[in-house]
Amino acid sequence: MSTFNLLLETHSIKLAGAGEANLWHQVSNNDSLSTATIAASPAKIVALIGTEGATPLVFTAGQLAATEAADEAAAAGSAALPREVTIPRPASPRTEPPRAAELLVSWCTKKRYREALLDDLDEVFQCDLTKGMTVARAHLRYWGAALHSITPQLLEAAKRIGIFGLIADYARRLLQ
Amino acid sequence: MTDVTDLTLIEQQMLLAIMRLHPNAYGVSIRDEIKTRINKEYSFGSIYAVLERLENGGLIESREGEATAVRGGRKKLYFTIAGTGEKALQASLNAMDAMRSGLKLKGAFA
Repeated sequence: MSTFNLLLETHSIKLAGAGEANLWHQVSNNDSLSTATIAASPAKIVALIGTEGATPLVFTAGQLAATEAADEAAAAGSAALPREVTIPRPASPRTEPPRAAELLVSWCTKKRYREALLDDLDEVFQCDLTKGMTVARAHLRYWGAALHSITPQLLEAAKRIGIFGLIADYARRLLQ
Repeated sequence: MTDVTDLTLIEQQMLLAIMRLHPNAYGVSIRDEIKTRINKEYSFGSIYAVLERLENGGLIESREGEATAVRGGRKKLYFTIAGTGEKALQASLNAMDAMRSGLKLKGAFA
C-alpha cells in the first residue's frame, strides 16, 4: 500500500482502461472518511497525482492516453499489477474558516489591515486543509491564530481605555 | 518619523524579510520567512502592528494585489521597503555593528 497526497478538487477524474476504478470527490457525504482506496496501476496514478503535495493537476485526454504506454510497459515487467493504492481523501475546497472567529477578528482589528489579516488567516487555514489536516483541527488552529492575533491589541486597548472603554468603542464601531 | 537608528529588533527583522521577499512580501510570506530563518513565529496581529508602525513612519509602502476567487475575493496587501526604510535599516545595523566591534562573542560570525 502506498500513500499519496492527492487533491482532487471537485473534478471527476476517470482512469482510462478497462477494469479500473473512478476517482471522485464526494463533497456531500463520506467527508469524515480519511482515505479512499482504489485499484489502479501505479504508473497511471503517479501520472495523475504528480509530485507529493503538489498543486492539484487536471489532465487532458491526451495526457491520460500517454500513460497507457507506461502502464503496458510496467505490466510487462511485473505480474503484480494492478495493485491497491491508498490515497488520502482531500478536504472539501468549499470548507470555510469559522465564521465567528472571522467576525471576532474583524471587530478587533483596524480597518486598514483587516482584509489583509483575514486573508492571511484564510490562507493558512486552506494550507492546513491541503496538507490533509481534518476540518475540525484546521478550525481549532484558525481559532488559535485568530485569538493570538487579537489578544495583544485587546490587552493594549484595555490598558489604555479600560474594559468600559472597550465596550464603548465596540458600540461606537457598531453604530458607524 | 522614526529615528533612523531607532529600530527595534522586530522592525529590523520585518524590513529584512520584506527586502528578501521583494516583490512578494505579504503577511504570510513575511511570517514564514522569519520563521524559516530564525525559528520565531510571530502572530499576524504582531506582524501587522509592526507593519503599520513602519508604514506610518514612511519606511515601507503597501499596495493591494489582485483578488482571486480562491481567496474569497479578498486582496493581498504587498509591502515594499521605501528608500527611507533602507537608510534606516542600514543605519540601525551599522549602529549594532559599531556596538559589537571589538567584542568577542561565542558563536558570532563577525
